[in-house]
Amino acid sequence: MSKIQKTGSIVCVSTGMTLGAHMSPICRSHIEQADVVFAACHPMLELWLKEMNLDVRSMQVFYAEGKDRRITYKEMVAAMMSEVRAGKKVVGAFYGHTGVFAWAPHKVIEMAKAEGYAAHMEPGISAEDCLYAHLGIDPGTYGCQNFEASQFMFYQRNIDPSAYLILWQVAIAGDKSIKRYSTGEAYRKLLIEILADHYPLDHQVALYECPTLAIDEPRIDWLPLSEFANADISLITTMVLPPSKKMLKNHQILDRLAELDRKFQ
Amino acid sequence: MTAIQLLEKLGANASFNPNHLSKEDKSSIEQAVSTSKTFTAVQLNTQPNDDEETPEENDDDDKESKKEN
Repeated sequence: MSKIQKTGSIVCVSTGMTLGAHMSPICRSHIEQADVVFAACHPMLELWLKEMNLDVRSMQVFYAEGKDRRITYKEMVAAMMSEVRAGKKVVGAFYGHTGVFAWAPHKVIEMAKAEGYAAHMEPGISAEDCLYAHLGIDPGTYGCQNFEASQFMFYQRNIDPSAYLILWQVAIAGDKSIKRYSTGEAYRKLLIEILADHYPLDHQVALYECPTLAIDEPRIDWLPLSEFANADISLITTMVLPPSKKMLKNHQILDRLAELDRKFQ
Repeated sequence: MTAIQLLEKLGANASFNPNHLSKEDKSSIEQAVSTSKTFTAVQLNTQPNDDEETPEENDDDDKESKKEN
């Protein structure tokens, strides 16, 4: 680990998903004490952050229609690092859990540490955490697999249909350009085709969206897998597939465990 | 109380009931929500090809990328 000897620092904090409800006391404290806060969250959350710190800078300005988002993410890191190098106490406030489905927070911490600055991440409440509460599902019951939808399409993944499957960023499923904000029906049909190897087309799947404001309800729409192609979805929509098969017992291991039990109990 | 302060209280205080908000408070929240800017939620993307180079916007970024690699 690099020896920390410079005055600048970076903490990536989590705002949580819902304004007022989810931010931890330590995240709030970091925001309040920062010299500058870079925000990557819903505009309403940004307004909330502005009540905690006078210098809150939105990183939404780095996004643009038709712009490769890998450039956007690099610009986020560059903006944060520039202030760290200037000796400031910097906070990157990212919505949900700062380290979940977010490239820039991990990268800026890695870079700052490599350059000898103090850097760490504060966890928070992610969309996944909210999903379990709102849908009333427990990942421990059958197991749970999480994939970014495009990654699920680009690579051959071994999925277990006896566990939950959660696909994130389904609105841009199959986007190879990393520039689009929606791919569309043909791409979703291909995703359905991949899923159809494990799930019947009439399998009920949920489309979930976590609310930003406490006055709003979460979106939980159940529909057959086949209808996903034409469903109304956005960048914050997540697809949840409950198990389509029962868990199969591993008789070989159960027999061996029984042997161990006879020996050690 | 500002709209954001009201929303913070609604999120943080279990006994603060949205049904008990005054007409003015409701309208202040509605106005804040309606004037809020658009939001891009995506912060991570899978690269389609492992060996594909990340595009760069300018020379400085290019140097940074080479350092990373």
